[in-house]
Amino acid sequence: MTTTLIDTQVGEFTEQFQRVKEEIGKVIVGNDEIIDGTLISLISKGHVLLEGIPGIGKTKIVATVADVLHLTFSRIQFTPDLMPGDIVGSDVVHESDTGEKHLSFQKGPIFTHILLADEINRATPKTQSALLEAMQERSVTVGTTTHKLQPPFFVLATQNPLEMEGTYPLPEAQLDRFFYKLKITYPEAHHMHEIMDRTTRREEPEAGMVLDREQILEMRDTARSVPIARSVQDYAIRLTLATHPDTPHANPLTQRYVRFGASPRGTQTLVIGGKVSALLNGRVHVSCEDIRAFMLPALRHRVLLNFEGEAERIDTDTILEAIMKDTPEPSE
Amino acid sequence: MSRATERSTITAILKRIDLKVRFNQTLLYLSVASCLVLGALVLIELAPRLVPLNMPPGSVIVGAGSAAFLVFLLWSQLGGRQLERAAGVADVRAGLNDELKSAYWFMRQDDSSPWIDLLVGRAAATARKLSLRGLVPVAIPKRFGVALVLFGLLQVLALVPSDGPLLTFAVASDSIRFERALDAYAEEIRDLIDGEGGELLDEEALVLLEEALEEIEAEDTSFEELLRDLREAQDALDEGNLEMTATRDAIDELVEGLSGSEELADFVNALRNQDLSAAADRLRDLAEGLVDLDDLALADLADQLQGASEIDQPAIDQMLEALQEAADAISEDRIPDAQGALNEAADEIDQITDRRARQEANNQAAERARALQEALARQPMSAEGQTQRAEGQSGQPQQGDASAAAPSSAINRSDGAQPGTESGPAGNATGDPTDAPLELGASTTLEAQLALEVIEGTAPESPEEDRELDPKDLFQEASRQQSSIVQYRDVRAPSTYAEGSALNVERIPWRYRSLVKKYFLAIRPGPHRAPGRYVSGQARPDERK
Repeated sequence: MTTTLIDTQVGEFTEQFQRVKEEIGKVIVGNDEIIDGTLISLISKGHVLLEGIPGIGKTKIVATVADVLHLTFSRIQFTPDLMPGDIVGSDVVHESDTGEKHLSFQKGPIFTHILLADEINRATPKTQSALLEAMQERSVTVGTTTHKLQPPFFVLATQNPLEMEGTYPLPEAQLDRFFYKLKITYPEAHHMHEIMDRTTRREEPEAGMVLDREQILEMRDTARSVPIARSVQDYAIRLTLATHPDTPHANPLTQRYVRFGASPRGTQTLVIGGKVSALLNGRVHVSCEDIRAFMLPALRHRVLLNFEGEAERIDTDTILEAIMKDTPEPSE
Repeated sequence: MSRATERSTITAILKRIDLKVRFNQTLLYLSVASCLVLGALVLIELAPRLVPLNMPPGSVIVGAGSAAFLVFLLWSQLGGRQLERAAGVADVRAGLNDELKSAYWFMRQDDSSPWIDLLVGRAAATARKLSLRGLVPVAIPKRFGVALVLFGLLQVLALVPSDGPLLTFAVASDSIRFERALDAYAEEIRDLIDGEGGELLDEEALVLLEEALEEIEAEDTSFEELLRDLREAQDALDEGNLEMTATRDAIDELVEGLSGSEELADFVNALRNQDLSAAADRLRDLAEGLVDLDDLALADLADQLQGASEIDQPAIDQMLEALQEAADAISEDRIPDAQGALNEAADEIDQITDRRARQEANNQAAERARALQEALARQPMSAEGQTQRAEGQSGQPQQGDASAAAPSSAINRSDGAQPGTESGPAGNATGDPTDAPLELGASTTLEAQLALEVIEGTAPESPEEDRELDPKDLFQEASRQQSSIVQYRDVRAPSTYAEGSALNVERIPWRYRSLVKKYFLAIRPGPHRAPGRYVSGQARPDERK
């Protein structure tokens, strides 16, 4: 591979990403950060947890992303009575033409490229944990048989932060498996006008397919090839360590309000996300700005508050912003 | 462009950036060092004008500051990773998002992959586009302005003379003021010894003054000790005044004895005018002119000389002997011997002239020593001196305290010889203490109260005892026998005594001292009468009888 080829590859990457964004933008108004985060997670082999109040387009975003990408799409509406078998599938009895009966595996909705786990916190922990192996290992084990999931496998989970009754907050282990946690905020007034204009007509806008599976996998490879200098990687590590209350890098806010900081998976998220961000900016190296760009969605669900932090309703974003401000770049 | 060329391009540009960064950094450090050093110099110049402080000399500050700056500069500029720093600077200032820094890091790792080559190639292209002048301009730190202001302030301070600190801290700065005052006194004493007329000073006084000077220089003295030394030196300097007074009295008497001779008229007039040099010259003229005198004149001259030489004046006995010898020689017609004797008498007069000049120098030195004592007495006590004084008050009186701090003590005042302004109506000042008892008014000060207390407690039963007891003994005996009725807290501070001492220093010109002395000698009772040679006027006929 020559530098010219790579140069072309980088150009294509940026162009494809922009095309996907533009196509999604035909349906979704605003929410650029959410769309960017979702696509970066997809390219980075990650999963996304979308959090937002009802009715602001969480499901619509996911559905639109699935429409734009030439990938299979499944949706699971998580409810308290949802069972793991309802997600991963189960062995069912089949009767052949000759009358012989045998067990065969009936794939669940998880066997897809894009899985929308709607209101994931309404399912019981048992059911939630059914996603654990699939999200991390990209495989599903039923009985003694392990079934590989076809790449790309991308989980988009949504949850409602307001309704706590009858919900089961995601355990830390599962939260950590989400690449980004994106918070969808209420749209602004001018965006609301645009939403009204698009959704109250007889014909709603539709997004066309832009990328196929192979192109996405190629983008994944391209993203992971971007080199990162040690000093920038060191910056990402210091940012992560600053979320740990017991390390010398700990921020004062961390020391006061944090019980556990981000795992090494958090650092991986910063670096991989930074690589995609660098490519999106037309660069072939990761900068500190790339690391910072998606630090909040990358680490906000990995930082666990202590009792004092919970009692004072400290937002983890506040702590992470303080860390970003206080951690010096490896420059002058 | 080849991979090596790209890498060397980046390295070369980073080196140039690093050089500029170092230069700017050196300017920055230099400005900080200038501000610190000049600030310290201003402080050194300004602080002693405000508060009494001993500051190190400016050269020490400049030297130490320069050395520290050089060491710091070497330490800061000799470290590694300068090119990485330069890459960081370029990234930040040109908004390159860590491009040069990343490229340089991969160059140093000597990694090679298409991605890294692309990165280095892009970085090289970016680096070539950089305007180094705009990226790292020569930045004159604003601190140089501050340094300039400080330098100007330093120049202004150098032009404005200092009159000592504006603020003084009475307690905290006593030791500093003590040292400064001692330095000033040392300078004054040094000038006294080595200055004009120093070679004429009395040897004993010189020794005392030199000892005092050595003690000051060794910082092994106190105000009290210095005061005592100066007083002793002054006494030594004053000693010759008695002799000079006696000499003058003798010359006066000699003038009276010689006033009838026509040949001696010029000589007598010169003596009367206290022009001893002229008198010696006239006497030599007379010796030369003896051969021209007739017998009658010679006989008259011999009589005059004979009569004058019979007076009893030990102060000029050598001259009187010479005059006696001259008279005898003239009577026996030994004119050359008479001439020799007269010349010898003239030499004696010259010696008296020398002694008088020396004594005048001594008197001037004594005046200066007296002025020094006054200044010393006005000085607040040093911390050490105050401590000693406090100890002295709580226990037995110490000699140092008595001599230095309270030269005019309560006893001196109570005996009436020196009526003070604070001690109420004075006692029987000039009368005979054996005949008239002390009459004291209502006491108004502690001294007077103490004195009254003493007298009540130890009043002698018989006049004989009264005569034998010294007033100081009387006071001390009373103190031993009785407990004071004055509360400790009411005892006056030692400095008050020092102030009183300063006010009570005698200022009697030496010309009038003989008159004052004669007065006091005249009123003293018989057993204490002064020797005859110090008494003139009415006292002398009594003794002749």
